[in-house]
Amino acid sequence: MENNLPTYLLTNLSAYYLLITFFMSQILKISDKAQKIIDSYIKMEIGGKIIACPYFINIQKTRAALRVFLGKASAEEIIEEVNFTSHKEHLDLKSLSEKEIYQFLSEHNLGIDCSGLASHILQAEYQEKKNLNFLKKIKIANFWRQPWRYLTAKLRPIENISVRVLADDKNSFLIKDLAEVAPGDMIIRENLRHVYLITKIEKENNQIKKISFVHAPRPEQKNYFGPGIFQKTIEMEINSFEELGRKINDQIIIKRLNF
Amino acid sequence: MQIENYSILNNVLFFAVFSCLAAFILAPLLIHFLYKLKIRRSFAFGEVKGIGQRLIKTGTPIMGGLLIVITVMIINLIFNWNQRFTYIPLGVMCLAAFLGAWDDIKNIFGKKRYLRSFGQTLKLIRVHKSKLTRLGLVLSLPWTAFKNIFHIFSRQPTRGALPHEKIILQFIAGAITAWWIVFKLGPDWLYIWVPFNGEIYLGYWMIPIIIFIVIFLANAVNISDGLDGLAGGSLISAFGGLTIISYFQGNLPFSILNATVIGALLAYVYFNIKPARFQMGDVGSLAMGALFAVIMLAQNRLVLIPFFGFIFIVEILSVILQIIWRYGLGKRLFKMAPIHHHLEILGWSEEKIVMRFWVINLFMVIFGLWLALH
Repeated sequence: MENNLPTYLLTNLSAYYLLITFFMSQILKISDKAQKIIDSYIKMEIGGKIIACPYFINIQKTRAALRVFLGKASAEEIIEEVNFTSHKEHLDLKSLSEKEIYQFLSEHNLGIDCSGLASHILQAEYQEKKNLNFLKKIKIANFWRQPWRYLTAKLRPIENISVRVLADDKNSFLIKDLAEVAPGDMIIRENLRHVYLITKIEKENNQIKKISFVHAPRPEQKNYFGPGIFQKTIEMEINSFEELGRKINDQIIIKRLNF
Repeated sequence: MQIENYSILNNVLFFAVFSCLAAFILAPLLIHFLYKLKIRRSFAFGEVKGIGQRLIKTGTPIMGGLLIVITVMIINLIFNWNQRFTYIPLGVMCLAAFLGAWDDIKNIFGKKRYLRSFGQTLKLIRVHKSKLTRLGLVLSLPWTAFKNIFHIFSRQPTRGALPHEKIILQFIAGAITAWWIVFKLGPDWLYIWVPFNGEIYLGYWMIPIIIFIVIFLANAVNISDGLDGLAGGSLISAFGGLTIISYFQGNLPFSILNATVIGALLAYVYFNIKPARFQMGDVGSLAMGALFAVIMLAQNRLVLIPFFGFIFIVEILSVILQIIWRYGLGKRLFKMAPIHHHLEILGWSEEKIVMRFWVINLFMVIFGLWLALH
């Protein structure tokens, strides 16, 4: 025992050190399953190239179409549709550059909108962490007020989830202290037009140092293709909602699902 | 009995050969006629143009099904006109062929047709400046709803007959068949034969069932006519099974009718095998589907329809399921419907699909015949 004392102390001290630094600096991440969903959108392999999934929102308010044409499909469904469409049009995707493939997707209305992306990620996150089907829990429409919408939402939940639904008080509550923010929380634009999903938080002394999020941003110019889905990390200094809003150029609130 | 059976068999074989030879003689004339009138596949519409070797088929004459309809019609009118058994099946076949021909011709030479949606009609009712028009639109709302319900199954714009127009004509064909079977053939037809069990009394429930089956099978064969030889080959085995049953039932008119169909189909398939000299078109597929349904029902073998028409039922079910998945869940069940297109996209060659479907249908017909003995 005496012979092993230095080793014993060294091992324990390093363990204590690690424990202290762990409490001082903490990294919180979204589940691996949810991260895989994010990666499937960010690194879509089409025609041997890797591209990010484009943004597409169903502005025409098309109903009852395939969800892949409504901006609500999974990455696999989008890839399958791209392969199918190129097959029909006798187009060799391998001969296209990344930019051309991206354009091909955009021109064929293949992509995802912000709430569609958030829904797919949240579904994976809640399934992994709480073994809960988020799509069954979320309240989309009231049966007595909108019976038809209630039924369609039961059959096709993702297509009926908008930022407004996610931000509804029946489904989520407001986070008032930034220190309480966790991965899986939603940064929502105050006018309820856009949602970012927090994927990673780095803390030091219970103060947020970095926030990573993923979102599907709308291209700002007409005929501008890009940038598609991406993940971004913001360094925080003052630790306030205003600072976060300023850094992502939006007036925001943060909400967490009730489930 | 033996002599009678021998006589039926003799007639069956004779008319099958005769009809086949007649159709062989008629086929080159029909091909020439179709080319001359430019009744050819254009692929101006539809999603299928990109898959498989669809583009090669552009320019192939359609309405080749006329070969079967004309051959069967002429031979039976001359040699097999029977007030009790043949005039309604032939009449229903002609009605379905007329619908198919109308659709085929409009698809080639017609103008694009749009259908006003229910929502658009409601909007017009609100905003139209003429009160009379608004009243007219309100009164015709049920008709608009009817048209729109059937329009779920088609695409806008279309050149051919609109779905509700097809359904109405098919309903008439079904209704005629139901009237004939229920009120003309006798009370025996109010019972349906069931293997191992005998009979089940359906009474006047037979009427809606018959109408449904005629519409269902006419469309099923129509949908199956998507690859060279697929519908034709499967129909040969189906009518082959029917001929054997009518032979065992000792029904000469039906035996001859079925045999002439087989003969005409043999000649048709000879010219329709890939690369096809012509395609069946709606004129042939709707007519054959309706005739198949009528004879199945008239021979009181309704229960055997899933066996004799196995491929057709699989094909139409694939379309129905695809629609349910698409509208209900927003996803595709098959890469493309009907199922033969799904298999094409999976990489099966056209020949492989067609021949495997023939074999499957033949097997199911044999199985159905075995059931028919019990």
